[in-house]
Amino acid sequence: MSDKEMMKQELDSVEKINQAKPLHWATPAVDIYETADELVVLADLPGVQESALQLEVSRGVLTLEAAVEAAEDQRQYGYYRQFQLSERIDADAGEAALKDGVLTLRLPKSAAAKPKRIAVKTLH
Amino acid sequence: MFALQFVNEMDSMQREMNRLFRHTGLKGSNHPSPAVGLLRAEDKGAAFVVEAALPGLDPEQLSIDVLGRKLTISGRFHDNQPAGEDVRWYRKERRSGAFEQSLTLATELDTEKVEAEYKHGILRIDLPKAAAAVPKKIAVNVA
Repeated sequence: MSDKEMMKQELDSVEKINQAKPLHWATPAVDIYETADELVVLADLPGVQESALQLEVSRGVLTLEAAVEAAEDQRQYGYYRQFQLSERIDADAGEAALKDGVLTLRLPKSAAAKPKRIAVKTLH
Repeated sequence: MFALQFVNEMDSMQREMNRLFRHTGLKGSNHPSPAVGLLRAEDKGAAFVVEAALPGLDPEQLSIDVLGRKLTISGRFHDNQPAGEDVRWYRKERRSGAFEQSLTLATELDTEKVEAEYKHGILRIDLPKAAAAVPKKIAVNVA
């Protein structure tokens, strides 16, 4: 086998590997806001089914990962994004819902982080 | 005040690294993609298939109009404005409000048979071509 042929074979095998992983990762658009009690994350994940969505909080890092079930002739793609959460977020008590391709994640603040009203006594 | 920050985007460099370690040899963009709009329009011979990513749409305000060759999709996204005054925003990237998008297809359409489905935030419209526009094979008689 000539060098040229070997090179071609090498390239062909690389191409096969690339074709086996046609996943394209997109960064989903998000809305994030904070209210007195919680942090709310809304993420656009069109085409994602509940079973294909992975939400994980590890060491204060929220990871959002989802794959889209693509038709046979379509390019497969997915969504991926990470956020660093404050320690004052109680991630264990978080609630997530997926509807019409939009993820709504509600992360309550820990008790210490909620605003407290302090009564002011007037001394006479 | 930095101490009051409840959420921070992971550093993009680190994010990219994590991504590389998790899935080798992938392509990805670092910028949020407004994953909204036309995904594909395909000619399936007897019909066109149009797909659009429209997450968080209010289905009652969605309208699909077909006139001749022109398809118009219009609607409104759910408003997610939180109530209350002490709301603090960190990110606002998602689309809200009304939208309209038109597409002119290559042939006349059979407007009576157009079908649409909205699932997981993706709108799929099947648009059969008008009978006159479907290609026909003509048999050649050999004398």
